Amino acid sequence: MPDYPYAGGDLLTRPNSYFYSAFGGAAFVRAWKSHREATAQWFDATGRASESVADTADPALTLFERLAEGDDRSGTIDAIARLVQRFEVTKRVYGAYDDRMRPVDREDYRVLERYVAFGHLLERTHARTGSLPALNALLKVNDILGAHREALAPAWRRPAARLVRAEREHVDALATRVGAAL
Amino acid sequence: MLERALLFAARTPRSQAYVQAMATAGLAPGRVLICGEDSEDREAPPAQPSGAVEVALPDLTEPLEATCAAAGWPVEAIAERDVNSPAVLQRLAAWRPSFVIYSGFGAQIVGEAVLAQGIAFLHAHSGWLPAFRGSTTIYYSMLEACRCAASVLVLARGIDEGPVLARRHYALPPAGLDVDRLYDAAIRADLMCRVLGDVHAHDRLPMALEIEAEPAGTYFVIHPVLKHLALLSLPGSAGERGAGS
Repeated sequence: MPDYPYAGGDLLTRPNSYFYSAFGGAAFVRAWKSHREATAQWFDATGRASESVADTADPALTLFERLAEGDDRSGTIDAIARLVQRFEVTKRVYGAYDDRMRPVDREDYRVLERYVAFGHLLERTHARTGSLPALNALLKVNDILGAHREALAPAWRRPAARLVRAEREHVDALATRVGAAL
Repeated sequence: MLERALLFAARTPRSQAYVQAMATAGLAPGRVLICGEDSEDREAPPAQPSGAVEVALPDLTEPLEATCAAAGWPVEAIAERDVNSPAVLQRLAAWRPSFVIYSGFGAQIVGEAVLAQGIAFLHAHSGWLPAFRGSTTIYYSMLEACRCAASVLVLARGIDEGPVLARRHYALPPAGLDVDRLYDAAIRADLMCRVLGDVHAHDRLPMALEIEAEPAGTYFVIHPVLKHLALLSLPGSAGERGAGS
């Protein structure tokens, strides 16, 4: 079985471009599933139970949590789309965003907890709307979390495990819907 | 008008598809500007398709210069890759083509300095606009619409937001076909040739389509897992390596 090559190295410094990715057949998908299951198990095994992991003083976490709650206020969909665009351009999640969802400090992107919270927002968005851009970004977020798992605070590892497993469920559902020969 | 057009051809499979399709259709541009190092368009032949294809696929072993020479088109080749470079700007200003048939390198955006010259850049995008804007939309279209599409537009500041001149749906490619280098290039070349045929017949660019009320969507480079789902969902896919691009 081939290795899954997209979740290694320092992806915060040198992000994947994902351009012209090679085709590896169903074996590639099996390698991805294997990688993700091992990642989720590691997060579960090393994580620490915590009643609440949210830091209400962190602007990014607050923003992602508010958007993930699914309020239908005007601008929510636009805000999520802009966040996805910012992430896709840089492959980074920042500490704070201005009212146009541009990062306030472009050097503040190494806090992994924000990647979990942003991943949760993407997961909820895909679950609610079926948005493929959201699922696409979630896959890239989980690549980063897998590559940097040691740096994630133990209190955030079990939420990260849930995120990885939710991603797998969404991909499985999509594969079934489109009839992919796995 | 076509006889005063410039074909901007980066050394890519897409440009090979364009020149081969245009030569076959007898659609001759006034000039061809080939950009990039000479070795960049000598790709190894990819896997062969396993089923019928409705569009002509490019022969990637045939260099751009060879096709242009056989067709008798005037060609200038430069090593510069950047469409926004002074070398390209200088030539546009000197030649003042009636319009540009644009086939640049992937991920390059035609900048304001070039667009400010007032020359229409015709670009073929492999997605139905405005529903599938952005990158790798051929794969998203396979997953969401179960078919492919191309659109020809005039480039503007926003990505894939210029006036759309033509759009057309295409069948899914057969399993086993190299989508990135063959099918994506082939459907773009096919629709571009349809538009150029219209230009040749009427001596003007087609009117823009009225599609403002349709929903728009923006996509980004597809993750390899989703790309695999798209390719493995093609009719006849065996799911094993070698069954796709």
